Amino acid sequence: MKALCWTGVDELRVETVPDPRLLNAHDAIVKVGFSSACGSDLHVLSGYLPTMRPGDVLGHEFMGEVVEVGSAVTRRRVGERVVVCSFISCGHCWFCRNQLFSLCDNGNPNPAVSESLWGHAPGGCFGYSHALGGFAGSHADYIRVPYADQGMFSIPDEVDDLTALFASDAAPTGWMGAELGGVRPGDVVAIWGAGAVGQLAARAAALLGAAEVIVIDGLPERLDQAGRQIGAQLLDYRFTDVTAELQERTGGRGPDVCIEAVGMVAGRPSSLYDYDQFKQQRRPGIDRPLALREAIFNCRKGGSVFVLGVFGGVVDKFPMGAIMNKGLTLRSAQQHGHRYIPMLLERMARGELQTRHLATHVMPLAMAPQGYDLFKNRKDGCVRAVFQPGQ
Amino acid sequence: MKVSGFDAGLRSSGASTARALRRRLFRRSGTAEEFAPDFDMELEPDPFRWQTVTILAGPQQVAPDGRLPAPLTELAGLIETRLEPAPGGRGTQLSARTRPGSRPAPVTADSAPGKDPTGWKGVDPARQIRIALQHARQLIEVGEVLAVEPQPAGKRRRPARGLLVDLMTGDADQEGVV
Repeated sequence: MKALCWTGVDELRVETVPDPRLLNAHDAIVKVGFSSACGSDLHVLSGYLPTMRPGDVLGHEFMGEVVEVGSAVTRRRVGERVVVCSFISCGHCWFCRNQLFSLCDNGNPNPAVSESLWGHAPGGCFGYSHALGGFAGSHADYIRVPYADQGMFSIPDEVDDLTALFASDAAPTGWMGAELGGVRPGDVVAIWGAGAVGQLAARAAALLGAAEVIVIDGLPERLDQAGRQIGAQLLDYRFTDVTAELQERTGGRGPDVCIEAVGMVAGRPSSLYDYDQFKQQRRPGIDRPLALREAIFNCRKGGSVFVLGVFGGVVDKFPMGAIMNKGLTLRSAQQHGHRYIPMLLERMARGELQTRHLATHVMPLAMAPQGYDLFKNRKDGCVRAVFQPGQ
Repeated sequence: MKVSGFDAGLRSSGASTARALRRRLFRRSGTAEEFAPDFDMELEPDPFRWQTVTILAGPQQVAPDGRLPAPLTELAGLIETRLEPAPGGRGTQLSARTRPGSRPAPVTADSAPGKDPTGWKGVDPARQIRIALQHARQLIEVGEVLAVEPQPAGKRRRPARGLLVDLMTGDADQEGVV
């Protein structure tokens, strides 16, 4: 079959690779319908998470059709249209039973790599380096899905493929940021990043009752989507002072909940950005926390900051003083998608959650390297490059 | 897994390199400067320290009638084990450690791969114990040990960093890789 392989830092190639096969009784094989590039892919693509091997298949956000199931799979069947959570969880360990699915004790066969980096290992993730299990990704004709009964979700007839695709990762990630960030009716919520995750966090905040949702970015096409499709208020950091603007819009209080949906590759022209970038490029493992610093600085006293953007190593100039002295609550997680996906699919079926617009560039898998170029370098208004294997 | 003398040396070198990189990363990262002494004072691992996993199951499910889970049974004469209830309804803590006096034979140029007469399958008992505990937990909680290979992959080139990742992931289901 064909698959998009990581061949080195900022190098991708579509190669012919062996087909996947069932390795465990709880496995399934899925014929991939759509598979999306994700902002977190850029961290592995560019070598900021230095645990990729040349030849690894990328991709973790996907939907498709079940073509084969293992002997222990009971809830899913061949021919079913499914969306698959990007994180791999067993459904039986203490973390899964407590709905902390991305922290599954059994979903990551390479725990020692991430234990060494972070103290404990999170669960596994498709196509996201050997620190998260080393599983082959979804930018391929077919993919093996471990713990298939747990990680695959049937797509309602009312939901089309492209809409359902984002129930795999972006929508549950965004929902988690708003819910675990503690959004309550009447809150003012500020979100850094107007990519797919930021937009869907904004929509989640609105559905959870936020009085005002403000999305901050500097890319006009993304802000335009956040305004038109999500109904958020917009703040373009190219033209205004973010802190002053947030103070003005919130009566001097600051946002009640601040959601960071940018991660370690935050970029914005400033002396602090130059400093972060210099350190990151000189030494792998040092992340650029530009948006995170700003979220913490601007959050109201006693407020909540939720970090959705992916970080891999350590950060510098971290405003611990602001967290302590303002009494902030700081939370973060990789997405616990299994907790939200059925509810999100229902909302998609009712038309409450729109995601199709995020797929700005849909193309055959053979064009995936060009798709990542568009996505990474923000060309042609690209919000998400989505690949369609078999086309 | 076969570990020849050469491979063991190579893995050990890879692990040492990675450990040095980690120390350097923390020591030289600006604001983390003050924490450097902690890493400089890092102690050598205790070869007889208990290793533990928590299994979401009662003691009778973990070791029915005192019988250890299969992955630990293979090491039965070489290790000590203990079971304790985990606090807060989190199941059972299953622990194991090398039995005193049960150390693998030193690897020499004449050592036959995987033929250690002491019964250990490699140079580092702690790693074997770690993998046995993890597999035991998976078997009890899920009913199977999650496999990842063989799986689709493109051409595996081996640049310097690819070699390091190979070394780390080769042992990454075990313990103390970096």
